[in-house]
Formats: sequence, structure tokens, C-alpha cells
Amino acid sequence: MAEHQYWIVAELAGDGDPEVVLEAGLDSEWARGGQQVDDSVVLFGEYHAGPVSDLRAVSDHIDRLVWVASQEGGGGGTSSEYYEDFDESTEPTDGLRSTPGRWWYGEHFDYYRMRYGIHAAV
Amino acid sequence: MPPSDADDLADLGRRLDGADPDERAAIAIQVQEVLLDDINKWGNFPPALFTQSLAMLDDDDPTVRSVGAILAGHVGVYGGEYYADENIIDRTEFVAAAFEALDDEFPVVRQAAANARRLGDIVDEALDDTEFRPLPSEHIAATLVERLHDPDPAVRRRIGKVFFAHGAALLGAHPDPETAVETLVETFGDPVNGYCTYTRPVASTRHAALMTLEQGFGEYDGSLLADHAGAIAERLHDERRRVRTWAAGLLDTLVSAGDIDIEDIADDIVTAAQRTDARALGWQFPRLALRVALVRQDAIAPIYAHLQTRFTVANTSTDRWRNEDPDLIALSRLVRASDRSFDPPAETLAGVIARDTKATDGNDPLALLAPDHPEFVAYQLRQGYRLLVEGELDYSSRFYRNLVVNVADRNPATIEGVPEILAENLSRNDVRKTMTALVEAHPELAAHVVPGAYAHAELESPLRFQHSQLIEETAEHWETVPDDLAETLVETVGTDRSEKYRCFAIRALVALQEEGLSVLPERFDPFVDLYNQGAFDDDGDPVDPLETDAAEAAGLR
Repeated sequence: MAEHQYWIVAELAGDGDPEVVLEAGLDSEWARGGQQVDDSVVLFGEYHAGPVSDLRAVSDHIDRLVWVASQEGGGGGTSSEYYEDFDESTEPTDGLRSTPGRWWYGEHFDYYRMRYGIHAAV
Repeated sequence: MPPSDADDLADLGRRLDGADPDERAAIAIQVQEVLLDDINKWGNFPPALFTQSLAMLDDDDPTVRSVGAILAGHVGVYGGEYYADENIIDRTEFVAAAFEALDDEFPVVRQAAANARRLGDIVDEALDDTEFRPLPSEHIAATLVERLHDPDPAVRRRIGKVFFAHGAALLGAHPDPETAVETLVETFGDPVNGYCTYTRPVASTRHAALMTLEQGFGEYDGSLLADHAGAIAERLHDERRRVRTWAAGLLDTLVSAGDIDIEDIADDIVTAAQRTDARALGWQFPRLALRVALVRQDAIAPIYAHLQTRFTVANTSTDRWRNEDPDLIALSRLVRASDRSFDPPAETLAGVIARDTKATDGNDPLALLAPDHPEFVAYQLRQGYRLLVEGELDYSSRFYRNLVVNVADRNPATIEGVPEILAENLSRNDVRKTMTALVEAHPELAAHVVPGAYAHAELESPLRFQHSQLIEETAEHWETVPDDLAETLVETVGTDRSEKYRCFAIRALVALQEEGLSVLPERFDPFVDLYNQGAFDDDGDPVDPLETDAAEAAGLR
């Protein structure tokens, strides 16, 4: 089995319901867990693509969102996207791709926190 | 994001030098962006950036300090690896500066400084290598213990990972073990989890703390935990399996050492024992549970119920049954030590384990019980295979394939009813493979139910070879063959999907035909001779049915 991983931090909207976001984010074959931490919901799983599109269905509950993926194979890679206004269709506001290496997830989260102040999952 | 005009690190460094305070954060972020965009740049910092990273750590802007912590940490930890002439830098200075950023008032800086990979390597080298002393070990240990309670969850998770990897050494280096132990205990209430799968980039602080206290036992006086028995026992109910497991391990260690009294944690253990999911409490829990049952009469029943689920159908997990099963050993001791009587299968198993603790290594206990307790075992099997047939279990389950065969090997009467259950849903791969294994090992017990299983099965062409194989092996039991099935087999002989499918399909057809069932179209007659000559036998070098003259006669090509 390939050793892919993803993390998502979904910052809750003012009246966002964490349970709704957790339910949508965990309803995926690869989801492995998640919890509310302060005003965010953190999700993680064993695949390189996180359930970002599934979360669009509950985007009313989410303000901002960051997704970081660690991908194995061919030297590996770390990819990420940041959505300033997460809704049903927006494109990411920012993104990074680092190759080779699937272990840059920490530095990706550092970058988004420095630049946008969003919480880090790992 | 497209590279800016100044994506060169040296250039960014120069711009940073001359920048106004309010421009510096944006430039620092660009440095981080460039480094993540081209990973090779990590191994090739312009020398000016070395010293600049130290200056960045003194900047007024937290973002600049964050990038400073990343750069200085990198130079300090990996400088020797990347820069051949290490003498141009003093790594200790960089490591010390990056480490001190853990005390920054801004969480983003502490997060950057707490990067578990860099910080872990710093701790590893600083505690291990007597030549490399960027900071006193005591200071490193004390700072990190304090940071387990950082107000920022991201920092705590990263620090948790450092303890996960180096906890015992840090505990050993701490100048004040009492404070260290107290602080570790205080993490138990931290609900933030570590989000990870294989590589474990982070760890929850409570997980790391329990692990540190267990692995570092001996680095501190165990009696320091005497007053915290309840707090540790509470973790037996933690939502995370690893946390529960380490809590059980630590309690067992403390009870063994006489630092805590088993009576003080008995209630928690009895409550925890209500869980019956496999290994939910780790391999040390059974011993702990046994200790309780041996000192408290009213604990015997619930602990017995818990240990019993190890060998009954309640345990459906994959199990290799190896390395002297701790649950069954505890069960054996409980049954023998107690005055009351237990269910006959448990009594038998207790005796078997008492004679040889390795008796279940490689042997499922249900197989061991088959000769003496056929009804009990048959009941467990029927329940388990019912779950497999209903799709509740799969290949990773104890009930997949071998168990029913192993039980039948020891006492054929014990699998009564199981073949019929398997026959209900042969379209599931795991069920079919289990049936195939059983038919191969014990055709007399299972072959007769196979034709009935196919009477109503809806199967598509081409037919998987295991179906064809099962049909061939049970050919003598067929009285009629549904038209659909015969047709599907004929179509499968001509499929372009797989040679193996073709081979097994023609074998099944001829085998049925030889039993007097007319399933073979006349034009397929030439295949019969080839079959009887062994042309399609799996053990030789089977001929592809499509490559034969018979295929031409049959109009398959």
C-alpha cells in the first residue's frame, strides 16, 4: 500500500457546526480521523487527495481551508492548497508543490500560518 | 505561484537586509516559498544567509523570526552534511539560537522552531554526542517538558513527537525529575490528538507522556506516580488505542514495581475490560486484568468475560496466534487459580495453555477445542461465517479461509452448518475462496453444497477462474446445471480476458459433461480429448484453449 497522507484544516465560519464538517470530512474511504481544535476542524487520512470536494457541500460551515498532502512514489512529493474563501466552486488562493520529498508537510503548514495565520494540523 | 523576479535566495537575502520593517515579513515568506518550490535549494544556501538567519531571529516581526528559526535550525542541524567546509560555521550557535525560538512569545515562531524533524535531530545529537554541546542537556530537557503545555495545539503536537522519539532520554536529562513527572502527568487531560498514519509526524502529548513514563521507567523514582494512579487509569478509557495501551503498560509496570496498589485502580480496570474489540487495550492489559481478578472476587466474572472474548467469535480480527498469547495465558491462570468453575471450553483451554504456553502459537484456539467441544466450536464458526457471508468481515478477518479448514482437520463434525452458510453467497470473493479451500481440503464435507449455491447465483461472463475451479472440483455432485451457468462457462472459454479464465472454464465444462450432464455444445467435443490428456492441467504447462485446433472447430477463433 502506498504511504500517502493528507491533512485538512477547515476553519469554521462564525456559525459553522463542527459536527457537520467532521461528518462530511470523515465520510470517505481514506479518512482516518479528525477532531475540532479551537475554531477549526482537522481531518487526516491515508491518500494524497483529501475530501476537499466533499467538503464543498458543507462549505457554509467553513471560512477558510488548507489542504496538505504527502505523496509517496517517484521520490515523493508534498502538495498543498489554501482557500481564502472556501465555497462550492472557488479555486485555491495559493498553493505549493515540493518535490522530491513527502515530508515537507510541516514546512507547508508553517508557510500558510505565516502568510495567512491559519492553524497547522501537523 | 510563479517565481518572482527575485527567486534567488542571495537576492532575497540582500533585499531583506535593506528592507523597511513593514516589508520584511513579505520577503521572509518569499524565502520560505522559494525553498519549498525548489527543494534543492535547502542544500545550497548562500553563505550570507547563514549569518542572516541569526539576525532574523532577532527581528521585530514574528514572520521574519519564524523563517529565521527554520533557516538557523536547518544550518545548525544539517550544516555539516551540506557544507563541506563546516569550519565556516559554528553549528552550535545556530542550533542554540533556533532552539531558543521555542520560547518566542508568538505561536507561529514556536511552531516553526518545533518542527519535529529538525528539533528531533537537535535533541538526538545534543543528548547523544558528548562532543556536540550547543546547550546544556538539562536546559533542553527542561524547556521541552515545559513546551508540552504550550498554549498552541500545533506546537504541542510537534513537541509530542519529539517526546515520542526521545522521551526517555529527555526524562533522564531533566534536572528536576519530580517536576518533569508532574508535568508529564498534567498532559493527560490534553484532548488534542496526533494526526498521523505511518510516518507519525506528530503525537498527542498524552500519548507521548505515557510512553515516556513507561519507557523511561528507571530514569525517575516510580513512587512519584503513586498519587497519580487514578489519572493514569483514567487513560484506559481514552479514545485512542495507543494511549490506552501505554496506560495499561505503565500501570502494569508500576504495580509490578510496588509503586501503586492494584486495589486503587481495580474499578477502572474492570470498567475498561468491558471493551472486547481485539487488542483495544494492548498486550499488557490481560496481565493487569488478571491481577485485579486475583484480588477481588467480584472482578472475576467481568475479567473472565473479557478474556474469553479472545477465543470466541467476539474476536474476528486477523490473528496469527503467535508469541504466547497474553490473554489466553491470563485466562488460564485465572481459571486455575479461582475456586469457582468456568465454562467447559475455557477450562479445557486453560489446561492446554497451562501445559504449554505456546500451544496456541500458530493454532487458533477454536481448532484446539474442536475435538472436545464440537458444539461450542460449531456455534462460534457459524456465527463468524455468517458475518463473512453478510460482508461484515473480509480477507483481513480470522474467519477468512483457514479457520474452518483447520477446525475440520481436527474434528469434521465441528463445522456442521458452515458449508451451507458459505453457499449462500459465493459471489463474494472472500467467501468463495474460503469455500474453495474447504472443498480442496475436505470435499466430503462441503462439495455437496456447491451446486445448490450456483442454482440462483447471478454471475457474469467471463467467469472468474475460482468459480470454474470450484465447479470442476465438485462436478460429481451436480445433478443439473442451470442454462445460464452453462452459457456463461461456454462464453468464458472464448473470452479474451485471461488465459486462466479460459482454461478453468473448459475444464469445468468437460468435467460436468463427463458426469453425464450435457453442457458442452457438440462443436466443443474435441476439447474432451485434450482435457483427458491433461492439456489444461494447472500443475503442468497448460495449453491455452484458444491456441488449439479444437478452438477452431468450436468456432472460437
